[in-house]
Amino acid sequence: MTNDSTVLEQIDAYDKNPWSGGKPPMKASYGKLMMWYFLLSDAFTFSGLLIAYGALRFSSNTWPSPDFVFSTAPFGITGMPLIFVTIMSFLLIISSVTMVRGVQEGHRENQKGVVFWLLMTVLGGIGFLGCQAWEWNNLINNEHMTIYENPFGRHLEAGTYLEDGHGVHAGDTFEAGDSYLIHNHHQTKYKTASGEEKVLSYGPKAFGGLFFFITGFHGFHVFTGVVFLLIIAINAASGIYVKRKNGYEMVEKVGLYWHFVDLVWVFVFLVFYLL
Amino acid sequence: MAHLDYEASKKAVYKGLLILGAITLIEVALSLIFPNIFGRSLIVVLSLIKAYYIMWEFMHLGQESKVLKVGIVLPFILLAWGLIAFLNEGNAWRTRRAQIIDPVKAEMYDHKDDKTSHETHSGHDDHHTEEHH
Repeated sequence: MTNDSTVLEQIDAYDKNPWSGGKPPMKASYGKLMMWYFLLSDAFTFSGLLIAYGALRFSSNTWPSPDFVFSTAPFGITGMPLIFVTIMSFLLIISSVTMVRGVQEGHRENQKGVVFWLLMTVLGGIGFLGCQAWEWNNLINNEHMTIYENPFGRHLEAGTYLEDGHGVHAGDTFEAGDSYLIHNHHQTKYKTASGEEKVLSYGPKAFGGLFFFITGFHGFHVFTGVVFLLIIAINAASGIYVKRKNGYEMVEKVGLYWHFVDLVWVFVFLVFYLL
Repeated sequence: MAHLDYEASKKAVYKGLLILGAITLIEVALSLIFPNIFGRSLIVVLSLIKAYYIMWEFMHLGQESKVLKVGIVLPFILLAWGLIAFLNEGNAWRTRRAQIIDPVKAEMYDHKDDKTSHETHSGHDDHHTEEHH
């Protein structure tokens, strides 16, 4: 026999269930949830590319050594391994911090603060893109690295150079595992420990394609992130979000995208430059 | 940042900057100094810590509902499985390729004179005759 109190209890229990409808089941708004799902799918795309890098690298007998390939920086700096890419990482980390500050100002409905910190984040993003462009130009035009030809390699066996090469002189010896660079297509002659004369062979072909595609895809995300940040900054400056009184949630959603870009860089940096 | 006041939230953000910056510098130093598997594993762990910090604090995932947290973290654990599987796969490609044709060794040995290399390559010869059927 049902009476009023049992029916009310049943209705209460039903409403307490987060999936009963009428309210966000995961407590996040629709827009925020969809941004998280998009980021998850994009993470899988990047993971697919990075896992492909891992599989191809493990299937090669040798692989260029990152601290040999990436040892240059602007203003004529050479022989400083990984310094430039560390600066790029810091640019993105700082831009993530300015983004969080922007979101915090948004929670306080501080319009001027939001616009300021968003523009600071844009500066960080543009700085990163500039650095990445310099790196690409250096590798493509100075070192002639393409998706077909990889001039960076590593010796499989010990030997002696028979003529001058990039950073080496005739008579210099090398061990297995030492790196070399075929500069300007000059395949330096060398002699192996067993007396055979050979020329330097080009490094694994996959290196160029993987490097340019993955860093390019990430750079494309940084670029679109900068575009989105500028759009939202202009929107915020125009005062659209003041009326919504939702703590500038749009800024928070764009912030999620920007932090994702930083997060992907953490792993691209790890895989290409540190491992 | 919902439960922290404004000044405390600002401090937390700059603390985050210091943590991420310090971890990055340590990673680069480890990468240059320790090229062995232990150094590399430590670098991977540090990167995972960075990822956790960015997602939990900067993206506020730590303040979202449990369903959303699990919904984001669980697929990444599956990705770890995929990564290990494909690294093994890549390794297998290399060893299988070495069994079939090894360019360095093939150049170094003269097949007619070297008996051992002839025996190693006998599997290759059988494969060849099967093709000619």
